Amino acid sequence: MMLAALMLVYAGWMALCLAMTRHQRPLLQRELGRRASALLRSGGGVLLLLGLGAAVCAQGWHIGPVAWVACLAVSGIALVLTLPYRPRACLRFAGLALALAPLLAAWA
Amino acid sequence: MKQGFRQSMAWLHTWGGLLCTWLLFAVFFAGSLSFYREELTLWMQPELHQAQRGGDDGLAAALAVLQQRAPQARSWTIALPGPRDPVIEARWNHGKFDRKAVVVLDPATGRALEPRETVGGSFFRNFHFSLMLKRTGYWIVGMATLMMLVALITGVVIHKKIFKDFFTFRPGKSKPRAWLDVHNATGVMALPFLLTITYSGLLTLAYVYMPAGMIAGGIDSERFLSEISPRQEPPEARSGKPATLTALAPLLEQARRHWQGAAPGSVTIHHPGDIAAVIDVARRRGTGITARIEPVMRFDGVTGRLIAAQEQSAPGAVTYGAMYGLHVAWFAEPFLRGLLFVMGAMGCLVIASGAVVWGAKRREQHGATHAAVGYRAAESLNVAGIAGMAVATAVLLWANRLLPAELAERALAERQWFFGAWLLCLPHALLRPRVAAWREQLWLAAILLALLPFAVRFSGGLSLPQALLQGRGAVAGVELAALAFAALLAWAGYRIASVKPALPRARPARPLPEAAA
Repeated sequence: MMLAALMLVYAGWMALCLAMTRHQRPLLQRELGRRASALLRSGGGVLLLLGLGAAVCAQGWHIGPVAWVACLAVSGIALVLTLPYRPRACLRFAGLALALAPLLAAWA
Repeated sequence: MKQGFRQSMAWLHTWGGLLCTWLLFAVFFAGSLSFYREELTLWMQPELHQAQRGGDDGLAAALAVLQQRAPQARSWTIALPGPRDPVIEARWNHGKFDRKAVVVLDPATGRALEPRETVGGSFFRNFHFSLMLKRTGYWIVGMATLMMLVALITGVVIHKKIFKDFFTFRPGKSKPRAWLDVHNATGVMALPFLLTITYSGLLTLAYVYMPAGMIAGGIDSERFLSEISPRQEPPEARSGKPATLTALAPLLEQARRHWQGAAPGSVTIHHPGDIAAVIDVARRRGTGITARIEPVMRFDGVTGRLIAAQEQSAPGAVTYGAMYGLHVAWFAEPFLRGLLFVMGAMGCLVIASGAVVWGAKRREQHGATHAAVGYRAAESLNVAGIAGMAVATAVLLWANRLLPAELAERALAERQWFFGAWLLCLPHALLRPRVAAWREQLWLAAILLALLPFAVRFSGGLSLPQALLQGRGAVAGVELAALAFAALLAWAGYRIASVKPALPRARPARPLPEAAA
């Protein structure tokens, strides 16, 4: 379940990153419209909150939020530091993370 | 003052940060390692590597040893094995604290083990808040921690594009710019962690730093601490009439049920063998987010009747316990502990990258020819404070393996190796050219850590393959982490060595970096 939280948060950060014009070209080779960006922004926010839900399910209300903040920081830093070197790989990993998250949540 | 608010904050961030960089890096470095204090302690005591949890967790064996060694003791305390600590510890107390009044047992066989004397993982814990200087150290670390808090807040103030640059890292840009990106991005992402750990760190020693409330209330720090921890009242005096102790296992089971499945962590038996015997069972720490306020259940030592079950601590104690708990993270299961360790390492990266930005900016402003004594000294301190810390830690781990197990004052000798190695890094950093100093210290630490799994030959204990095969996570984990850090440090040294200075070096009389090879 904690792993699911980490995956959700990573995908959420990626969606928020994709919502920013300056990151769209290196990641997608094109710029997205205003609507698509807004959709990505809210989708990213929802994913981050789903991550909180998964962390709270895994660890309860007293430790869950702490674990969520840890997930936010670690996945965010991992994303930022690898993004300029391997943008496409980051994008693929975010897709994989999103696909894996429900499986991991169901498994554990 | 003519400067704007942001400029003055930038000044404070730069110079205040620089002043404390080396100390803060050491504190964050050792503090991060403290998340694995118990694992490190186990690794540093190869005599305990084989210990395993068994049927009754060695309770009967511990009682037998205590009965034999200290039948007349005022109290016995048995620390039960836990998920991170495989051995059982039996202590006795004749009225005053005696470090030697303890036997360590293998819970599975009940055999007494004789671990070597070592600083253990506690060294890093103690070093990170006291620098091994007791109260003086508390104050030095406290000042630096306060500066860290100031640096975090001023950092947010002077970061103009905090949201726009949220995911920005441009390694292709100029060196100061790329390092500033690293500093900003990791700092912003890790900000909740950094704020929490810094603030809660200050609060753990609040009774030292801000004793005004305690003084006004007329209590000293000892009384403060004892009021926070929910110790039961001392039991009535020994009666002198002998009686048989009740069986412990049912009491532990009762306590476990009472705490909804949370395990007991220790058992204290007051007046063992007397009719007035009393048994206190304390919950294992790390059950919830709070620390130091674990509830205690008290039983009659002869009949096994429940006397009192202390339920809730006072609100002040819970607040302090929650802050303390957030800092020490006893609650963290292995996955979360790993994340916290990575975040601690990110804290180190924020601090170190700040120092690098400072140096790179100075060189950019003044050109590579700038060689003022102050800048040179600060750069050398960067090397010794950051790379030297890794060297000293690797040396400590090696000293633990190489020093003879029966050496007198062995823990002190280990400490001396650590500090000796660290001190030697400073003249090395001062004497060698900047890039060569970085590279040599990083590579020295990398080599020492890469060879660490072979050190088992000198000390006994489990080798890395054995530990992996037998599933001893703590022992294998320390050595795998050493290998991972060796790779990281070697890579960092390689990257630093491959950066060519843009302008000819300041002092051609100096040997070129290649001289090291």
